[in-house]
Amino acid sequence: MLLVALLSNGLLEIWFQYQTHTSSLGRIQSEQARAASAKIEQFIKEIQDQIGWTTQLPWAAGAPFEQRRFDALRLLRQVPAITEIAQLDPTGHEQLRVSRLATDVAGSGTDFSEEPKFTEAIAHKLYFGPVYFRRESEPYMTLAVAGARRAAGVSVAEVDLRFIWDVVSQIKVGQHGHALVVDAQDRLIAYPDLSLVLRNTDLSGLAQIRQARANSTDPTTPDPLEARDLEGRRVLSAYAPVAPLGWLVFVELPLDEAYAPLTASIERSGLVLLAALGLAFFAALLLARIMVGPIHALRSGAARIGSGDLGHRISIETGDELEALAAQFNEMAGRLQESHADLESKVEALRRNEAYLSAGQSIIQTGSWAWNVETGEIYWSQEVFRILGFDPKVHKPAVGASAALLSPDERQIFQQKLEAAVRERGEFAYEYRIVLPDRSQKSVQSVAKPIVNSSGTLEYIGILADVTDRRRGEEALRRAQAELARVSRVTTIGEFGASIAHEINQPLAAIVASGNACRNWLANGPNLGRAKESLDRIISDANRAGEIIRRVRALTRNRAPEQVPLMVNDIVDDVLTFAQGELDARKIAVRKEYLAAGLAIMGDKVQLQQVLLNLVMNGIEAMAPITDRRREVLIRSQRDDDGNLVVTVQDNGTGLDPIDAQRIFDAFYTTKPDGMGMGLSISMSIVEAHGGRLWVSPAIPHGTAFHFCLPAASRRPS
Amino acid sequence: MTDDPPTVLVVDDDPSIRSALHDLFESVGLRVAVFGSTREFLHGRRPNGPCCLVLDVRLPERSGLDFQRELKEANIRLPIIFLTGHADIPMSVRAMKAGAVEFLTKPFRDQDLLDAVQLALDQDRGARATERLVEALRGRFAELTPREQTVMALVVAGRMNKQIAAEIGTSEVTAKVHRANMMRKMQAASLGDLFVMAGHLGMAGKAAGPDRTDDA
Repeated sequence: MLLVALLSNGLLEIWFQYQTHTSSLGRIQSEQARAASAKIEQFIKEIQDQIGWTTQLPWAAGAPFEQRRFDALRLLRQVPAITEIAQLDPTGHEQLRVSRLATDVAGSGTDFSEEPKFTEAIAHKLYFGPVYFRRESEPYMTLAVAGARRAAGVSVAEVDLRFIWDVVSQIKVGQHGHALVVDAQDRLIAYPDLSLVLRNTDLSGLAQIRQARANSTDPTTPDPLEARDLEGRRVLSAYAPVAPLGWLVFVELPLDEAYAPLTASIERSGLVLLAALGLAFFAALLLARIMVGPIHALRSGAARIGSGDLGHRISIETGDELEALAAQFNEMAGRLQESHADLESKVEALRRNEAYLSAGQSIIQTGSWAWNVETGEIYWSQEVFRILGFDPKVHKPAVGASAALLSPDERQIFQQKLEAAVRERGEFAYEYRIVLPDRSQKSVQSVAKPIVNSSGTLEYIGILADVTDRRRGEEALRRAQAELARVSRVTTIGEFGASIAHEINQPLAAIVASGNACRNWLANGPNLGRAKESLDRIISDANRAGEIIRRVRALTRNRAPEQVPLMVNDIVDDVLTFAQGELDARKIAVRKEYLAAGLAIMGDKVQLQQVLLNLVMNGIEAMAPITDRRREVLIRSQRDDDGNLVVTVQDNGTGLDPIDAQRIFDAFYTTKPDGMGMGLSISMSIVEAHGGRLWVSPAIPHGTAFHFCLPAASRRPS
Repeated sequence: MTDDPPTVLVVDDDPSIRSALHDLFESVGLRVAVFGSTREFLHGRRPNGPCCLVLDVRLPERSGLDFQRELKEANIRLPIIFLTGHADIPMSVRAMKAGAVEFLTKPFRDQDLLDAVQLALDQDRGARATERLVEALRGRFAELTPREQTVMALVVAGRMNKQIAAEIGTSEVTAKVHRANMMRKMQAASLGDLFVMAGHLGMAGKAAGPDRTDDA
């Protein structure tokens, strides 16, 4: 804007200057032309006047010739331009000729009466002859002046126009400008370069001359004209007519000089304009620095902050509203940065939490899932994918995706449980086995809780736990416990080995004896009746031995525990079968109090026999040091207040140290020199596995009582 | 004096064993009496004839070995054959030291048992004969005058007549008379006979006083 204004202003100024200058230049030049014209007119006029002075004397009066000659010579002296003066008498005959170039001629009488110089002079008192070139080089003009009176005749002067050159030369047009004069025939008469004049140059071809001729009828002074001069230079040309002669005076100024002031002015203006422009530019720069810079800084700063470079601060020190604005921007960016950092730390914390969660899920082999029942939207954690053997990049979570891994039966149960849970908006829990694509099997447990949000949308949030290892571990533990129990049982039976051997030896001895008797009966007589009786006993005793072996094998066989209805008194009797020998050997009396006849329990016969054997064996050993009283073990079965079965095995031995009583059920804790410390521990775990309890109490007045209670069969939780 | 036929006494708490042994002994023609417990045995009548006891080591209330000692303490002399389901060496040594005829482990070969029984019965038979002899000797000994009893003890102790006379304060001739009377009353054909008799009477090799022969 500013530039356009300055530029137009400068251009306008230049244009006005140009107009003014051109017109003034034109005026000056026209004036010069007129002045030159006037000078030439003056010059001619003076010559004319001088000649007039010499043409006073009438020829008739017969003025002295010498006078005339003297006048002529004086004239020549006074007017250097006149080369030759001739005086014609009224008849037109030459009477006197005084010349600078030739000898004076007096009274030649040459008739010039028919010549224009005489006729025209007579007619118009004055005659200007055409310009001619003497010796084809010097411009001359014949000037004829008739005397005031007819008698005075006519004075004819040959005027050397080179003197006009002086006039013309004196006209200074600028530095390099010039004036020139052409005659009526457009021949060059005067020009600073004389050689051109002397060459009788015809200038009718020049545009300005043609123009001037065309305008000759126009009385007004024409404006100067741009044209080309003799040497082809571009000039500003003005002219003025030399009226009486029909000459034209041209004043020509080279265009470049003519317009030099204008050019200078324009240059000046241009410089000023440039300076102004420069100034404006610097001002603009300054302004930009002051105004635009901060705004730009503000804008780019805002852009950087906007693009996330929250650490960027806008630095503006203008001391104005911009600085305040920048300060606010900075403050805003600072707050943004703070909140962003806060957010980032929260995001980082979240990410870390998620990583922890994921790692934790991986460690505990439990994934989490969510299922929006209405929208069907499902979320699985990484661990769920891993457990199910799915690739998160390939598989999408779906309700049916995991169901596909189930066996058809389990799938049906799974679906039913799920549908029931959704219908009742209740919790869902199911443990099932899945078969992965690689045929490996897993035990997984799915537990979920329903969440109903405000809009009534039902969503399940749950976990999926890989319990394969746990189940395997439990199975292994169960097996190990069973094996340990069996080993312990075998050990216990080993302790009763002598007793058991006795129990088996008895029928065997009887069989042998009866067999021998039978043989004897057959040999002597034979007495077949007695022999048959012997055989009957043999069979009976063999059966008895077989029964004992069967019981021992049942105790030592490696088999899974089973849950069957049992009558506890039968178990006690069985146990005493094994223990009786030992009890007899140690002179221990057994007292049985069966107060709970008919009370059935659910359990494993062998395991419960093991418990009883253990307790009886403990009692036997506790009574070993007793010599001062009758050794007796009491086995009692009874119902407690809750209808459960309580079995007590009580000895009247040394009793139990209170410290031992606290630790006696710990594994590997033993009070016996050669004990393993497993019996009571295993008994405890067996009783607990049956949902019961095993404890110890002191017996009155001597000994220890072990008790275990078992839930009655009808009360046993399934 | 007529003896009952030889009898095998069986004490075992196991009825199968009792029946089988009863059968076995009967099948070889022995008389058998079976008892379920020692108490039953003690209350039962003992036959007057050679007999032996087949005793189970392990019995309720008291063991066979204890019962053996009790019998001995009660001066009931009876050859015992022990039966046991499982014998250990100390137990058998103790039984044998206490005078057991045999210690058999069940199940036993019948011949071993029968041999043992036969041996035991023979022992008992011999014992019963010795017992009868001793009874007779005691009777004869009781017939002796106190001075003759003293002389017998001194003779058995190996004293010469002169020494005996000095001991009892008589002349050597009187001592000879007492000695001769004693030999005649005791029906001792020789001094060796007398020594055997003295052994039966429990005075062999000792300077037994007359007070030691009062037991009968």
